[in-house]
Amino acid sequence: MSFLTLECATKCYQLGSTQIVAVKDISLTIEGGEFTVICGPSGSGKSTLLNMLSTIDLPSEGDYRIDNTSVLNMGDRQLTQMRQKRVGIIFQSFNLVPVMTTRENVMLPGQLHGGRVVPELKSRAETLLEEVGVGQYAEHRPDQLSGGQRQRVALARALINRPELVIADEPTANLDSDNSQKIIALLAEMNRKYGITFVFSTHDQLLLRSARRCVQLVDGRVVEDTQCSNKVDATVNTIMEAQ
Amino acid sequence: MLLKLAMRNLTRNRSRSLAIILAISAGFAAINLFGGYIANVFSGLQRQAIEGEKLGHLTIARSGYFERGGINQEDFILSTEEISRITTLVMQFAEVELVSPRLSLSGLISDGDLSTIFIGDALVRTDLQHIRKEIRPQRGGFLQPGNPFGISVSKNLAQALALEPGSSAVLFTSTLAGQANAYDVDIIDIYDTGTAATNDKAILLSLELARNLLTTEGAERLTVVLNSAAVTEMVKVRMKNLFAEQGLDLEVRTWESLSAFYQQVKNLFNLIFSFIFSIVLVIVVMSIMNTMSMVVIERTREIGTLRSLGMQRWRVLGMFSLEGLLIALVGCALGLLIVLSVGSVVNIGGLSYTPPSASSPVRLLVDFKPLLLFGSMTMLSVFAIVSSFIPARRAANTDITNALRHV
Ligand SMILES: Nc1ncnc2c1ncn2[C@@H]1O[C@H](COP(=O)(O)OP(=O)(O)OP(=O)(O)O)[C@@H](O)[C@H]1O
Ligand SMILES: [Mg+2]
Repeated sequence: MSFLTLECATKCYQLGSTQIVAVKDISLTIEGGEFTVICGPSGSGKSTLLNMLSTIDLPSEGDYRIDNTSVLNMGDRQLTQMRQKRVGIIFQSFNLVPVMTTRENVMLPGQLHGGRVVPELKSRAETLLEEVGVGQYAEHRPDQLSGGQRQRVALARALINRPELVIADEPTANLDSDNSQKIIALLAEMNRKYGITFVFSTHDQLLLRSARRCVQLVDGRVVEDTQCSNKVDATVNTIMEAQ
Repeated sequence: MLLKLAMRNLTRNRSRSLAIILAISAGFAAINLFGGYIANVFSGLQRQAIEGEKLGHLTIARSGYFERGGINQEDFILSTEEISRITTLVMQFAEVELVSPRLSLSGLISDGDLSTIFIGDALVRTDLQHIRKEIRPQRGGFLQPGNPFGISVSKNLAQALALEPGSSAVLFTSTLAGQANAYDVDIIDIYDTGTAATNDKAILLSLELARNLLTTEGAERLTVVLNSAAVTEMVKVRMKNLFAEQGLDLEVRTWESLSAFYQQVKNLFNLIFSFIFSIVLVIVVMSIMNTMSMVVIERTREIGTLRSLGMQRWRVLGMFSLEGLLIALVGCALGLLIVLSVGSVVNIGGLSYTPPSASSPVRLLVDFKPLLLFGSMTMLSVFAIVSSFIPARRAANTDITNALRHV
């Protein structure tokens, strides 16, 4: 039994009178602990696919199952609760809440549940910020940080609830190549350390090489799905050594 | 956490928040300053009616008197036995301070050369001070305990007949049986009735004199003074029940229902007040709805982010409703400061004005009514929540992927 199972998933958007098929008939299984990158040209359906995987969007046809439970049978409440507990999301443009400090941003998904163990959450947020390398900015507001620092905060936020799955849609598109590599190295490190399943998309050829598995999309279809072992560790090691 | 978020977001766009908060505080201040002013006017008018017009709190008379007593006065006269029976019954109420028999009459007053119409209000001389509670002694209107033939004349009437304290005059009336009757009287005092309409015909006389003029032993009504105006309605109901039990065919009226002037002013002011209140409500509802709609559009991406991180719809709804409520509460708090400071300045400033149909200037004062302050704050807050609810619901129902694509 796989962790994530997409079965003949199709996503259509109605744009006026024309129907756009963003993702067409994709079947994909991802095992727990995998580190997968989705690539493909612009408009090929990467974001759409990731939105479905993170359950903020549902397939119009086909099925998507997490741990063999179909998301189509869940209501909005259940899906929201599941995202809060089990899924971390990282955005291309960071999407930190501007009126909150870095630490509060990281704590936010923990507080959405209403569980009021604030002190524990606070120390966990600080540990995570330390871990992603922005521990000294806990009291800063997002607009006082650089892009790379903000994405690190976003990563810490995605990890606060100890999710099983982290989805990142072009997490490095707004970063320079140096920062991009560091972020991906961090993702890979978290993947190794905690066994979290990562799925992210990118345009960057360099980053593509870091992934163990690469799913290539063209026009909403999977055209290539390659597994290459050990690559990621090698890349992480080179980046680590470079630092 | 929601509260913290809402508060920080309010300070994010300072000038916009300030503008709407100022608008709400101005509205709140308008409601409460005007409300406080009319509360002061009402309490002044209440005193004027109960004490100045000498209506007392309650008036007891034979059924039908209030409709037809002016024409067939003789049919409604209460005999001395009836008066003492009613007085004994009514004095059983702990709230009753005084029961005083009254007569009213009209006729001609003459100084020898000129004569003109008068309308007389007759009461027991020793009860006068109790009913009036020494309201505005500068206005005058006294009767001498020792002289039943002494009368007090309203100021324009005194002017017309060139009467002054010490001079004498003749009162011509017809008795209840319809015969002509006249008495020589002494002018003791000149007084101001408080209203221009009565200042040229009102006179105040003793009950004995009026009884002689009308040749009766009785009275047409009984004025009841209570220890508090607040219990008026309650005592009236109990009194009516008591009279019904005792088989007495009597009617009881409150000062409020007898003072047509009070009723008119009250209706007018209440109308103006409702008008101002609805305008303020419309402004509050429109501005909050408008602001919150803008806020929701501006923060579409943030909403998408929060929803994708696992914020439930109801929390999104609560977050924006709370922001609307917060705006209203801060606005009301600021408005309260305005009310207290402007109100105090007005009250200390000693402004005065002459209202229409009044005979002398009245001080402009503002009462602070906790009930009104609290009530309008609650009302505005409720409307703030309601009006931010629509934009908030739109926020809660946004499609997550579309919200995240929003730029
Ligand atoms: N909400 C939407 N409404 C209408 N059309 C949409 C919507 N979202 C995506 N599309 C369309 O679906 C197709 C796939 O879009 P998607 O964003 O998934 O591509 P992508 O691979 O992420 O592209 P990019 O690399 O530019 O981010 C595109 O043609 C896009 O125009
Ligand atoms: Mg995309």
